[in-house]
Amino acid sequence: MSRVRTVLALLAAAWVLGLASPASTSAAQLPDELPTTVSVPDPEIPPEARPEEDLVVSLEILIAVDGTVTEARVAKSAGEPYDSAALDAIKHARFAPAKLEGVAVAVWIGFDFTFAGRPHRRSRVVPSRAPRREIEPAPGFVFAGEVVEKGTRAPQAGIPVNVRDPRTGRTWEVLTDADGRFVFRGLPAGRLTLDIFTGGYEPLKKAVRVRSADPEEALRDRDRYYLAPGGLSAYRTVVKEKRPPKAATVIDLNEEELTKVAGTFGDPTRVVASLPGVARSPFGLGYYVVRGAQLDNTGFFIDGHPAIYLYHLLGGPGVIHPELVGSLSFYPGGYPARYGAYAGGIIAVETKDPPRDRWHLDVDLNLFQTGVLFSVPIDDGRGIVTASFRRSYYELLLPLFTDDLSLSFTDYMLRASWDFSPRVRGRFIVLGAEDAAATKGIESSDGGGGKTSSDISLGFHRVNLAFDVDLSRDLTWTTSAVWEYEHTDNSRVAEGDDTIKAGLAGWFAQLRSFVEWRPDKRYGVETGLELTYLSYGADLQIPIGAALGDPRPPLFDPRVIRTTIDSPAWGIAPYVSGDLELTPGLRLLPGVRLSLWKYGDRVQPVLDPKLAVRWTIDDAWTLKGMAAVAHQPPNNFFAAEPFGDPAIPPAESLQGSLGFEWIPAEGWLISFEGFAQYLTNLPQASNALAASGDDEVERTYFDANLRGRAFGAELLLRKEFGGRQYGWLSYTISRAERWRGDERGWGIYELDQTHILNLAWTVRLGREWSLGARFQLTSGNPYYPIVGSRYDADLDRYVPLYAGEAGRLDLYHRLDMRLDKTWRFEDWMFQFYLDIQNVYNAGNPESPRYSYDYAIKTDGISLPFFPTLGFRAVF
Amino acid sequence: MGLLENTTLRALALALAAPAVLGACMEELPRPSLVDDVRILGVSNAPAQAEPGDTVTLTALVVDPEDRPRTLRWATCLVPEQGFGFFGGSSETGSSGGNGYGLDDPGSCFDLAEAGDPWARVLGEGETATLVVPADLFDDDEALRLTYGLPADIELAAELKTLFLGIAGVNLTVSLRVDVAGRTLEASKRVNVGVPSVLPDNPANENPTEATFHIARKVDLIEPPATADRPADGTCFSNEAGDITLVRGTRYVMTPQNIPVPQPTYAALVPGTTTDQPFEFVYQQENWFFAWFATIEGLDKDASKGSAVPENSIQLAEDTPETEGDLWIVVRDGRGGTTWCATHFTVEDP
Repeated sequence: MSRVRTVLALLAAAWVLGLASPASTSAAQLPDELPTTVSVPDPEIPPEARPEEDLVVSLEILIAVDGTVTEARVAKSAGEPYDSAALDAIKHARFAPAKLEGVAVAVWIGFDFTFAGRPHRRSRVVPSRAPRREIEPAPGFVFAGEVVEKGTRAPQAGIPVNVRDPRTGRTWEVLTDADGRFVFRGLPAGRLTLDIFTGGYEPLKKAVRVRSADPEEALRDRDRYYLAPGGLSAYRTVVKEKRPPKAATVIDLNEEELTKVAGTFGDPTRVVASLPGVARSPFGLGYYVVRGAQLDNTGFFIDGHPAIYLYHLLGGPGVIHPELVGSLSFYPGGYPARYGAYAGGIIAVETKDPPRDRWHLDVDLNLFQTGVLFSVPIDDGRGIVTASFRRSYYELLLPLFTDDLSLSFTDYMLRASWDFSPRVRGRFIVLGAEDAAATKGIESSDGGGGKTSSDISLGFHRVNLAFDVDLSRDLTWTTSAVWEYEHTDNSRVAEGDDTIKAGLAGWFAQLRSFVEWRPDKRYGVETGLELTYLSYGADLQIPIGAALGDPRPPLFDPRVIRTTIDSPAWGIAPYVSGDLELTPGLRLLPGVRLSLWKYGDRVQPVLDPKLAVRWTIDDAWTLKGMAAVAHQPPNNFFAAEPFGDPAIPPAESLQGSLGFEWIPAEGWLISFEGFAQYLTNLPQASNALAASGDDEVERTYFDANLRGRAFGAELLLRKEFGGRQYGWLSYTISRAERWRGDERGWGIYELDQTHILNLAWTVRLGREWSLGARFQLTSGNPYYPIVGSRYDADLDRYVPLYAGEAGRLDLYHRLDMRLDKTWRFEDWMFQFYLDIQNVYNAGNPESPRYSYDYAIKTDGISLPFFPTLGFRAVF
Repeated sequence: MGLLENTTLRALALALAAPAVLGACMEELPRPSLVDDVRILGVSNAPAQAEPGDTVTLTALVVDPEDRPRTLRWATCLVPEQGFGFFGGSSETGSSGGNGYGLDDPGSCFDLAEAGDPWARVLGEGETATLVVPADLFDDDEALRLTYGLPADIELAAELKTLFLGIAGVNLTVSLRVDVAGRTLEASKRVNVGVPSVLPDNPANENPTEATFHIARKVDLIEPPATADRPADGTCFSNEAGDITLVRGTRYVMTPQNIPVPQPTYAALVPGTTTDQPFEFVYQQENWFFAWFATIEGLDKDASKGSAVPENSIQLAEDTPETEGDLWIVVRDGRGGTTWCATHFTVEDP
């Protein structure tokens, strides 16, 4: 059922005495191994019963030796129909039984179901404004305390706390409240034993002294008890809310999955490179070939708005602090109508707030960069302000090796969220990054004898204001506006040459507003409007080709032209998408987006219809498929005069896929999908002369005559996050081609990789050690081998002669590993990580390298063994 | 949205920067300035720029440390100029386009002649060859259209044609094959053919035959004169006639002389900077380029150019076993003019 989030955990102290009732158990013996979840169905409630706020039903259940639940009762009621739904669901749950000295035993445990409130109402770890228990007069003595997680100080709600009087053997139990606090009343005075035993944490046993009869005094003097995540953490599993996918295929990854994948240096956004359908990008540059499309056909989105770039220079990390990446969704094709203007896939990153329970400080320091994140809640958690900042210090390290190169990056985010009311929430985000790379005083690579300096700098700065408004129980309205400035500047100053500069700068503003209406789990509608305006300009001092009739000079000797490009453009895009469960299990996801773009001389309407189908046959099997049309306007450089063609049409993609998903066991998923894609009107550089209408000759620098096609199949074996291990194995077999003209027909695409295998797996070793590995095995990129050369006596250069048929570089294989360890102190955590790229230093040249006359062929540059060591303190 | 993408520029920036960071780990490859086997180092035509009906003498600088017997064969043809434009014909289809040849490759005139191409013919064998430019080369527009890929449906006005031929001309490609000890090397050279320019200050190009060089020990800190008489024997150094002596471990500075100041300007037809102006006519400055070769390692640079730091230096290692060697310098003016010099040297201990 939808909208129910099942929270397993909160393991009560287990009373392990056959089928004994918890109430009658006083001398408990703890099992060696607690039960582990096999399957727990979601409770069913009518759609109209969906609660406004999260509701928790706490059960006590008896798990028999065969793993079935033979008894269950409500320990903490949420009322009807929630109690009944929870009881009904738990009866169909299956567990691996608890074990004592290797023998299965029956246990009573506590078990919570959380009925999630409205989907926008993301429950915080602890709802700090939840009502606290009233302190009522009671006979006897009072003892109070507070239970928090060790290291994070996260309050632990709903935890059963026991005290036992060793003199009489009598036991009392209470549950912690929303703030993790507990109060015992009617206790005898003296030394008692406090016992907290709950799933996912090491048992806590402590002698306490009860001496106050005054509840206020007891509360005032309460102690804090720290629960350390322990070897039983495999049981502490939060099953994510299973929202219906909005596309035939979407891969959602959560926080730990995003940050613990080896080879990514803990960078969430780099995980995409390991997913099915994604061809490896050279040097990990962060641009992806998805299902055979062009590099720029895959769009990056941050909080729903397009992002110019997601990664720092030269394979650097993502531009968002990892702790502020809430989720990453990857749509390899047929993406929802909410997104648009890309002919390939979509990578959508949603940022998040840190927990609002208290202030948080996160300091991350590794060999190459330092990052700091600080957040502070406002008005008892009604709002939160977060600031993050990261800065590399390559410029401190590089001088140890060379004086010729400098490299740096910076990124920041300031984020403020505020709940104006339970129905109106807002957020304000300022986000940006600046990167720079420079070489100075090095000899010209052309051997011209002079010194050359070059600079590359790029960056963006974005302001985003967004509101979510619950218009009713079923209707949510979201509006978000963004303004972003972006620049890219390259320059080269060489002795004896004119300076070459290419500066591109501009801004865009976008307003998107949409409403989501979901009155029933069987159907829902989202409709929205997106308005975009952008103004980009380029200031160029760039070399042009040699004069006609003259050979090109032997050395680089630019004749520089100066020109500017100014190209405002705009777009309007209304869209509507639906979600309709035709019959139980058969879900249609239609969508259509109408875009009207103005660029160059063109006012271009395009229609992007799409339809995805997911047919859940039973609990294990789902068939899925999609067909979609996607358009993408050309970038400014292609469409703006003087070089571009103002009439260049948008690229178009026809996409389709068909496959299935199979859940062989709880937490495991196997997905198989065949896909095909046909791309037309792809822009490419040209140099053709053609007659214009008035008998003049015109030159075309860009045209849209490139066509492409790709087809293949993707396999994903995924162990979802939770338990002692998680990860995925993905394999893609595909072929991507481009039309090479009538004479040659379809030829291989330069970035085609026939076989792409990725294994990303993380194992929790216990004691908060985890070890992750990623192994990549992909076909080498195609290239045209050089089979000879001729000496060009004008250029003083050998001109290579290429083979007529493309070959491939050697198989690419690489192993990355990551080791994480967390030490928990009471109020903070210290983490250590070692992330090694290319562990066995595999030589994976991205291209061959030749001697001056092409007589000798060697390996080109490749990413070497590359480790980093980091430390992180979390307060 | 796609409108925003400047992925191409950014990816280019990244691609340019990546080798700078990672390139240090790469294997050393032989330098082009070291001559350790038979090589073609230069081909020259005189005159440097011809007219229809002219007789052009072709010569080549072919060097062989082993001084083996060799045969030079010559051919000529007319091939389309590849990749002359703003973006050099670059495209995503790669440097070859998968056509089996490089975009810059002018092709082999021998192959074209064998295939019966009407513009191609074999010129014969010998250390030099003679090319007689067809007198009717420009009687129609075919050569012009073929060379520059001009659309067939455009009528070229007579004055435009005259301007075109007076500035850009048409290149006749010359192919040279050198057979040595069972191996064949091949080189190409363009012979620019045009008509007298109607523009002022646009004389025909000439080979940079005045180029000469000065050599001195670096420690002597000699400021060589900018001009000097070129040695008549074809050797390189105006201040050291004939063979020279290089002392092991000593650095010698070699400075080009007679570089015209300012270098001559000439009219050129360049690709236009806008789509509706496919060509532009400009005056631009000549620049001399120097390619340096030696049979023993020690040259500091493989090439240099007049507008930057034209001088070079040579220092033979103290353990250099050779006792003699050869040094060649080829001078090009960047628009087809070529000349060279050669100097034999002996090696001595300090």
